[in-house]
Amino acid sequence: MGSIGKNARKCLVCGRKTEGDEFCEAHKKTQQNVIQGYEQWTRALKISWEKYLDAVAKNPNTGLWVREIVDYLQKRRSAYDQPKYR
Amino acid sequence: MEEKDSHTLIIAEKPDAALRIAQALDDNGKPKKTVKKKVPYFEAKRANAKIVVVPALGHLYTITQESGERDHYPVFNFKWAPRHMAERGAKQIEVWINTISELDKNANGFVNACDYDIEGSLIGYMILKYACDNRENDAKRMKYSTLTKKELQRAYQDLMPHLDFPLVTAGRTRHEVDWLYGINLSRALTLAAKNWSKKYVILSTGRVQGPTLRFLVDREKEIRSYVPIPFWTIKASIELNGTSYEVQFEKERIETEAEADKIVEACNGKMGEVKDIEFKEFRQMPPVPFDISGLQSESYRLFGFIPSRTLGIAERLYLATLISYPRTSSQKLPPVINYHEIFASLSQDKTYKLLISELATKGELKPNEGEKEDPAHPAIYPTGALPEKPLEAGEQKIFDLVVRRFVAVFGEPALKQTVKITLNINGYTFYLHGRRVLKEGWLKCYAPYVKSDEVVLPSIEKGQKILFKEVAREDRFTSPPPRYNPSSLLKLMEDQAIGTKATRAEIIDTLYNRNYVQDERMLVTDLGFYVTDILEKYCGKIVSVDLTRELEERMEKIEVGKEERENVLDDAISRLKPILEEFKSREKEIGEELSEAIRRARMQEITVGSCPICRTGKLLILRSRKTRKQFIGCSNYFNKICKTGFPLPQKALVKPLRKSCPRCQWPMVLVKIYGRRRPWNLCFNPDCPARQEKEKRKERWEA
Repeated sequence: MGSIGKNARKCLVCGRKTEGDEFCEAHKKTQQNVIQGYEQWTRALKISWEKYLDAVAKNPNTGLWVREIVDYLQKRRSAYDQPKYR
Repeated sequence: MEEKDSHTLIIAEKPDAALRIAQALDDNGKPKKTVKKKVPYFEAKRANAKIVVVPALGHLYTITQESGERDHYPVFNFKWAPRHMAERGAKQIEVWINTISELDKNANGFVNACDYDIEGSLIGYMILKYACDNRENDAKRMKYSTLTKKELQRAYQDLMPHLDFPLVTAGRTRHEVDWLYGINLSRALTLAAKNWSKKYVILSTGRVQGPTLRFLVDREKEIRSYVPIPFWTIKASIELNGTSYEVQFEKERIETEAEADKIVEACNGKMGEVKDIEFKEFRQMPPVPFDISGLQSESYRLFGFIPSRTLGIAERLYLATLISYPRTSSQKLPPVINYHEIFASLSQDKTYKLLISELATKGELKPNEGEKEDPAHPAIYPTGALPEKPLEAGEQKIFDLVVRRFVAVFGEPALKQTVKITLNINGYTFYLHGRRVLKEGWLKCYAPYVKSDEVVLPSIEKGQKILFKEVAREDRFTSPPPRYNPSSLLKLMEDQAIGTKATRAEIIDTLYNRNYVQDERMLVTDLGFYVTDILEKYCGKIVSVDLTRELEERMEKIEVGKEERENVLDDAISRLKPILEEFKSREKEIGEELSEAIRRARMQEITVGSCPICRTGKLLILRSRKTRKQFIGCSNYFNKICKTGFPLPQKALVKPLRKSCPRCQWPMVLVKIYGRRRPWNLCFNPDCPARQEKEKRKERWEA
């Protein structure tokens, strides 16, 4: 059966094969961008993590993978997903 | 003394060019046309000597695998063969080659008169070598940049004593290296996918295609993972003599909301003061003459023509003797083309007469040349000939653009004046900008392709008090970098020195044909993404710009005799071998990934958007197994969750539009009925207000 390794998992967003991570390379990097983006947003204005996710989801300049990650995070909405500085 | 019936055989690149050459060389300008098995050739009489001009059909010979199976790689054995022996659907080539071979029998002189560039030199060489039985060493070369009678006669008078062998070798090597890369890598990809999924889909990549697609993929990744960041700008207007003028804040962007609010608070509705007035005059030089990429980007900017379309039109204009040879990278116009004669001929057209009269006051005609040079051809210029019959709309646009640009490069510099007024208000600075043209110069010649947006300000004095009528903050967000379009991608390929002026547009077309990109915005498909990712993962060198550029430089050295064909070929093979071995050893996993990519790409092709009914499924364009009718259905149907379905027009090509209906926000599809020219956008929501309104209108009309 293929070459799926012991640790192989599927990306929780797109279903692509990953080497043990919950996200594929693209979505992992995008998730980091979303977290870094929040730091920049909070420097610019007062905004909560939830409102930030809502604003990013609605923004027409938001990238497709960012939308997918935001959608995933909004659906999960557990403490685990939210950055420590919330 | 010449043998009876003996003749000089001239090889031209295309039938139109053959006719022009024959007309120019025939003493009476009326060569005899013969068509043998659909192959035309022309007989001209020149000072009692007989000349036969026969056209090629582009390349008549191509590279093919010398021996071995077709579904196998690596392949390093190759030979040049007639195209009909290597390609399906090239039967006419056999007849063409046989006709040329027959005309060769009584020939006692040979001339390659194909376009003077790598491809033209190679086309002629291959015909002389294979169809004319090794005449390549006896043949002469005709060099010209326009198909005008005068230039063709001069070129025939001053024939080069032998073929341009360095150019031929460079062309040969380029084709051979590209074939080695293309055939091996494309076969590796296709076979890996086929062996895994047992389904056959052509996948391709190449020496230039791989890095070009990578540019697009890298940019697409940036766009897809882009998080917009908020910033603020200040929109302000002042009132002067009853007229409102927009002024610019000292900072282009403000990083925090609080600061933006502070500025608005301090300035809105308050009085400011003129602190400084600064006038500047500057000369704007005329544009440089068109090389092919310059023409392609300008035509995309002005008319939206993709590069391959512009090139095709420019070639037709060249064959109609209206413009010079377009595949040039030169931005120089040497005096030998005779500027005065071209202007005199163009002046016979009323529109251009007026333009050209602008130059009459100029003593010496000197073009504003660019830096780029091409040893083979000058920049693109109009020959002076005017269209004998009405041109098709696209041709007319490009012809007019070439003429006006040619006139503009000889124009006087434009003289412009700018005024910058500095305004102070409560410690903040704003600027009011005015600009006007003092002397039009070349701008007049290049209209309507250049516009000067003037802002003329009323008289204003230092210390004057001014009301800031409206100052407001604008909430903005940073944007991702723009996607490449065919024109900007072509420019990037040129800047990165990959591909040649003759092949770049073709490579961009291949990306579309392979379904790696879609739309004019060059949206990378999932397939394009996966193929690039897989190549990068398993054979990164293939998509490396550096490798391609390095090979490009070495092939350019062959053109000037500083590099050997054999060295470049050996090097290409020794680089390919380990890559292909590695690829083969991991064929199974690559095949699995590629098959998944193909499956996803197919899914992307039929996915219309999210299901507005169940909100978890995706709407797909499907075909009923029972009735073979196409319809839109929800992917959750198979999980027995959602039975949503919508009918679609039959006998029509239906594609996802990736846009929402402006009235109901449902996803839309593009429908093209076979046999009809225009496709249309369809909202399939039966309850869409737009659809209901349309039906009501119809009912009223019928009543």
